[in-house]
Amino acid sequence: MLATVKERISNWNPQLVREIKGRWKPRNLVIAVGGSLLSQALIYLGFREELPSTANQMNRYCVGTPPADELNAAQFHNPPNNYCLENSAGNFVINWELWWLDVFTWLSVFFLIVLLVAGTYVLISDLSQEQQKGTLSFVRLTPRSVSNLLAGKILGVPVLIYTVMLLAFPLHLWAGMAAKIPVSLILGWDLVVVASCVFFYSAALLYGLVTTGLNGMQSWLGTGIVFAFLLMATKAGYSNALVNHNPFDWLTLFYPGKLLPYLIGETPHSLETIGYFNLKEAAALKWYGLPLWNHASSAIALLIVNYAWWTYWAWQGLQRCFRNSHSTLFSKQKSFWFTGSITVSLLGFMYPQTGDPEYVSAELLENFPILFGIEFAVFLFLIAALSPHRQTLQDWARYRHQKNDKPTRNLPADLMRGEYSPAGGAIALNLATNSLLIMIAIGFLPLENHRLFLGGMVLLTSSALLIYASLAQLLLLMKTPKRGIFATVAVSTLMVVPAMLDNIFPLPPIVSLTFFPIAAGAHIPSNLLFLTLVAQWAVIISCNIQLTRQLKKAGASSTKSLFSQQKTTPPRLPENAQ
Amino acid sequence: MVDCQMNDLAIETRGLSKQYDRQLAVCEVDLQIQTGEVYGLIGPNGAGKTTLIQMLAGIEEPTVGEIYWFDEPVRFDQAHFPLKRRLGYLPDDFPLYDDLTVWDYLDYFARLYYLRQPHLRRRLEEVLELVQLESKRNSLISTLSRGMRQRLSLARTIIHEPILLLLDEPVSGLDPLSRQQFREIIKVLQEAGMTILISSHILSDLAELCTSIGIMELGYLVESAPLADLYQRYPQQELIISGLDDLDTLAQQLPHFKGVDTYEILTEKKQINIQFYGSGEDKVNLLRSLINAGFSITEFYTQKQHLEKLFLQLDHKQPS
Repeated sequence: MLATVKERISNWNPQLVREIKGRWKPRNLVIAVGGSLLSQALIYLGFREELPSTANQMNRYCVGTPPADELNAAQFHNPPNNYCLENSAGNFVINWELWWLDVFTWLSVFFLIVLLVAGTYVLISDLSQEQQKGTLSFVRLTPRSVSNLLAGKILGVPVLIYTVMLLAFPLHLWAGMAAKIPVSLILGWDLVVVASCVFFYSAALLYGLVTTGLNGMQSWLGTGIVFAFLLMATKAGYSNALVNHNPFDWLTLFYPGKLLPYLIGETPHSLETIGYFNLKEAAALKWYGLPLWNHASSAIALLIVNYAWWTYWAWQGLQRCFRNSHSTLFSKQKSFWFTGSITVSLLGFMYPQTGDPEYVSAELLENFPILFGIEFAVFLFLIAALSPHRQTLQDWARYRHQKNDKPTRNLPADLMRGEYSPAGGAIALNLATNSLLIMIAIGFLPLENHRLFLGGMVLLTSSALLIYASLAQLLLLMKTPKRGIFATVAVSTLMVVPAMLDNIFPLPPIVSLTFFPIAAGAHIPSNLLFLTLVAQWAVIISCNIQLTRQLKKAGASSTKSLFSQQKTTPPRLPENAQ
Repeated sequence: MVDCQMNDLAIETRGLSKQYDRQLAVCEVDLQIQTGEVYGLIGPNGAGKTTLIQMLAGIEEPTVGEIYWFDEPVRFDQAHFPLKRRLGYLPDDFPLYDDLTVWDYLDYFARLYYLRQPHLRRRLEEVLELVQLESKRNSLISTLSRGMRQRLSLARTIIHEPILLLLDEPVSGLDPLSRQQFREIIKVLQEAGMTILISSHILSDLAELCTSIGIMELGYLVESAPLADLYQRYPQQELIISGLDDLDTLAQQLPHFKGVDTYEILTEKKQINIQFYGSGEDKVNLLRSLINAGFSITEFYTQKQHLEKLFLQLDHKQPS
């Protein structure tokens, strides 16, 4: 029976079995099992230490009301401590459900971070090692689909981490049930964690595939980003700040802990007693004014849908980059859906929670820089995802007419949709459509007299992004193999340096506005707005003239010289050849 | 497996080029390899052999040009499942998974190519026997010698019974015994009907194995022909004459004869080696004239030109 199952799994996904065979060795298993049991024991014993040990003391897990003279001291704690009472047997009366809830929450958060951070690390590291060694080339040559191979990686590479998690599952379930959390919700949590793993691991594989030349640093860098995100989100969860009623809420949708308030809210304690992952706050979140986060089931569904949608995009990149490492992450056509869906999601979180119409306009105005900031980051990612490298661009410039499937395709269409063409046109169109969406939102939102300023900001931000896109594309044509790093450094410098210099000695506002308009104050005079736009477009046009010049040079002239040089002196056969 | 008739083209390229930056690594290569052939690709370092093979294998994207396997166009980065089952590719380095045993490694690749039990087990045993690694089936790959690793790589390349093999410098770095073993395996594969493209610097190996030869220089395929044709087209032979007399006097006579190109006197062996490009009749005339002139000839024979010498006759260019 077991042999048949093994045979079936081996046939379905040999990659999975290969990964398991390579990792499930006795020594590794002992470390994984030992590590899991030890960490569970440490968490359990650590919480046992939190229980009261002497009579009449104040403790979170006691149930008595403090005497009047100690009431102030007890309430000083957040959440407040209770007075410890003994029962007739001489033992303290303990609020075990609260104690188990704390254990459950800690286990959830701790193992979530371990699962996502360690899993991300091993996947990035495994893939970059395979890339370096060259073993991935053989796997690519097999007739297996990309999804089959990479699913094998996702299921197999972190197999020791899964072992750790499986061993922790009984204690986690037990702690949840002892805290009076419904089993269905605990399983719902597990489902969301699985969905988050699929997303984070897919993104990790994509990151591992496309980041080369970082000399093994990419694993640490990628894992560091995931760890920092989880740490910040967990901290926000413990301090009841997971919901902000601004576009940051979109980012927190990637944190599985967003579901914890619903589990915790089911326990028979007041939210003040628990003191973290507040349900009232989580349930107040709205999207385009819709109360979608009212119920645990809808929250589970929304989190899973969000992960599924972004996992789909990660796999779009994986499908393209696994077969061809020089490929861009997305096709130009699909990029419109990518940025469009982000903008639509972000705009849904713009409306503030305040019931007072007097403050709505002011709060909305505060939300816009956050929206612009996230959009900025998204478009920087898009520039990296869509910009082809030197070789691709040179080939496009030289052989465009020979390579096109449809020889009748004209240049503008090729720039918007072509697989190998420069990204500037497609990024400009992306910016235009997303700016239009934001402009429509500005038209509908109660912004009183701020509409003109915000419209100007949209234009400035879009133009600044177009400068970055043009500059990045220009730098990606450089000869050096580190051109990717150069482009990143150059764009970052443009963003950071004017603002930094401005702090040391005041620069004309047009300089900082041109390159980083998000830092602008609440009002920009219309003449300054106009001048900045002119300056931005001057930079964009000069960058693109330079890019066109370089492409022409790379194309016609060098091809001619290369072919003429080599064709006039082809290797000759000896004279006695017949 | 597809049914392939002899004289069908296993590989065809049209105007295949690969340009890196300002350097043309492969330039307008029109290659045709018949089904069942063993095609040797030779050329100096940097001639573009590896790039050409990588493009044929679908690892490197051509800048321009078309590739056909068995008359079907091959497009880079596409799944083309049936075509992939026909190809086996062995690169010049052979990265392996050191944490697996020999059996597990081959089992893994066999399943990636959809081989199923009980055929899978039989095939693994067959291949292990062919590459002489039966005794190492349960050994970790990290414990294998270079020659064994190379043979294991070849086993991985043929595990799915491909009909087209691309072998890039398969014997580089191997000792003579391992090379001999490797040659024997290639012969077995050739007899089994596989079409094989093999690049190597060791031209004597290729001469023994190949039915056709392609010569690459500076990215161009400057010659591509059956080996027999090539010998015919470059008819220079080595004529060996041994005699009892003074070889210097004999050598002085040689430039007067038709077909004699250059010669070398080996005094210790009492032998003259002549580079001879004349016909059979010229050879008879030479022998008759030498005897008539009173020279005591003890040996007079020709030996076929080595592929290596033939290759060296070409005016080679290496990329700077």
